[in-house]
Amino acid sequence: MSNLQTAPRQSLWTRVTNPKFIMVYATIGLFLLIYLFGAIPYGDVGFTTLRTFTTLFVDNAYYGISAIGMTMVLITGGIDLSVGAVASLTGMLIAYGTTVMGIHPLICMGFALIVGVGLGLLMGWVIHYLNVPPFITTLTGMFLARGVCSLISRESIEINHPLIDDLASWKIYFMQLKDGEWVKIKPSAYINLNVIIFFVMLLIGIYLLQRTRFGRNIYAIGGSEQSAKLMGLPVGRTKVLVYGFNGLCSVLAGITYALYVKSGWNLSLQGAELDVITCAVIGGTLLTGGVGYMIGTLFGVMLKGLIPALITFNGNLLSWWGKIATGLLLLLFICIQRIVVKTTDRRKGKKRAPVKS
Amino acid sequence: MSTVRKATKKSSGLGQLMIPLVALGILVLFNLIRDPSFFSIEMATNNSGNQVLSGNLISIIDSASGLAIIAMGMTLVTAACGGQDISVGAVGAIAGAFFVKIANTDNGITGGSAILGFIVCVLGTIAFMMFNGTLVAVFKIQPMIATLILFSCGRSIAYWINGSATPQLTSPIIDALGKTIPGIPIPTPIFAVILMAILLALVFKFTNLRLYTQSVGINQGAARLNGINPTAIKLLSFVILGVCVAVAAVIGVSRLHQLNHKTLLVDIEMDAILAVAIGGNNLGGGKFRLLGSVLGAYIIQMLTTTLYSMSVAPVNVKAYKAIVIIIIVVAGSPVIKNKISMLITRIKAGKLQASAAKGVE
Repeated sequence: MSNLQTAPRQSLWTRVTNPKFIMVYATIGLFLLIYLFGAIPYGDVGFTTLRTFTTLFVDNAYYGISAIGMTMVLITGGIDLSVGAVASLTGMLIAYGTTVMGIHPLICMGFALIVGVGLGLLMGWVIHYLNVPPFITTLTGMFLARGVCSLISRESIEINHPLIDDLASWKIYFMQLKDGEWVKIKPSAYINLNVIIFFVMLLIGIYLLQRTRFGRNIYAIGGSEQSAKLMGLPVGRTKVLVYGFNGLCSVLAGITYALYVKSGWNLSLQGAELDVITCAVIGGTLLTGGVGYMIGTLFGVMLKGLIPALITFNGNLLSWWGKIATGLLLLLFICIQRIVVKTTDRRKGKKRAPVKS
Repeated sequence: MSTVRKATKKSSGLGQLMIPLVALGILVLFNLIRDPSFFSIEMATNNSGNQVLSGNLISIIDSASGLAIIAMGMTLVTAACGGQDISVGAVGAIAGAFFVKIANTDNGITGGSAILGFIVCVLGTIAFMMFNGTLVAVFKIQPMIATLILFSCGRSIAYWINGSATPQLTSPIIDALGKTIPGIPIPTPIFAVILMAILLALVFKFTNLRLYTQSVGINQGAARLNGINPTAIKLLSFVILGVCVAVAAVIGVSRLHQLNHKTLLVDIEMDAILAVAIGGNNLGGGKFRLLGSVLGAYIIQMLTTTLYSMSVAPVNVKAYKAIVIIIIVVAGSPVIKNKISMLITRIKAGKLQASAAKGVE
């Protein structure tokens, strides 16, 4: 890995102000803006409490986990529409396995992991080696996973297992020192296993993308697959592995969702794939590939969770306003992306101009 | 100009239609072997006392109508922009909301209000599609992302237009639009498909739209240098898609006798894109055959109906559908195509060698 760091180390300031991070900053800025926008009218009813903030993560952990894998896929220039279906299938496998067949949930989870990662690898293989467009391949993957899910059961199955109950109710409360004693802060704020899985996956994602050869290959493929191939990079292997990793993320998202709702249903998480893509796009990942950061995706997920929270705090707005707001947010971000890409292109053009003359 | 057009026609000839035709043939053959009565068509009296044709074949062609119409528009967008519009289902819900809002007056649905409603519906849908088109053509945003906006909020807008209601529509006009016109035994949606197909065929016949669309899809820069305005062509493809979606939405509303903004044309975007892909069209843009996409739509519907008639539950259909579709798509992928053509040339070469050897003897 040492050869990755042969480039002269830039000062922290130049690295932070690098224009390639503009999109991430835009996301963070907008998140803060909307948070402030909510904090002023609803500050006195508890919008600014730690509880609201941690609920953002507790309620959206499964989206976040899936968005991590999706970010990688999008950076390679691909897309994966099967994530919601695979997560739903995972939930169904766990529910059916534990409740109906009486198998230990860990074995079910292991089996789901094999199925999900296997499907991901298979789709990656079809996309790269058979040259079928990712959109079509993963769409059929989605149909397949959804269909298998309905084949297993068409009814919602409750999960009743002590281990699942324990895992689902396991919480870390935020404590504070009061009169020399540790007590729960009020209103009580906590994070659960799902949030921890999310952050662990986020760290893994950041490490893979920024610190490994695998990550560099992902960016290279997204920049130009042809060039990456000509440079001798393992394009096929990387692409297959990226889809496999996304399968892993989908399964983990399914497990966290199962812990969140404690049931499996063949129609759960319908349309989640596009929500996940929305999270990644709001976070600054370009669908054309080559650009994207995990930190941006983190804030994308938070931003996406903030809107329903705001609507809940308002109380008068109907939930469909949330969808319209998300749509507007997406529009805003797409426009910002466009402007950023254009201005950086122009800047590059200006730099090149004197060389030409 | 004429030579150029001939060349494009020739190169996108029957070869592209091979896979959908073969797939359709296999499906028909499978049904023939499984149950010959699958294709029987008979006259029956429907609920409103009209003589209508009934049978699986009619129901396949009838229920694929909306999909076939949208697939036509989707083909154009795919060809011109090199991407797909995933908002067609959501925009269809908006179109249905427009139609019902105008057509459903206090006095029920009259002929005049239905026509006015249809016109408003088409114009409104075109306006929403122009939003997509502007993002794609002017701001050069990837089609899938640009249309993701309306995909995610379109149904909410439909909800808002119609004031959060799911109105029931009962009128002979709605019956005529969604089912059959009294006296004509063939369901009306089938006529809508034929009408749209003829309309588009006439447009292609008398204008250069086909050539222009293909050249924009293949190489936008080259098209611009040749005096074609890519922005206008892309916008036009979205306008045509808008008309298609409006027609499909009106059919959908009329068929169900109600407007449900949540279920109207739900999931149709995926099926429409699949129809385009099965029809052998390149999803990256460029050359296209409308006939292929229409065939693709009928293949998808036929597959679904076949599975239903084999008493597969509706929710389980997706699994089988996925397997069949992946086979069709893989068979149509360039890698497999190359392998097959190599195999054919090898067999031919072998035959030639054999005959040459005979000649020597």
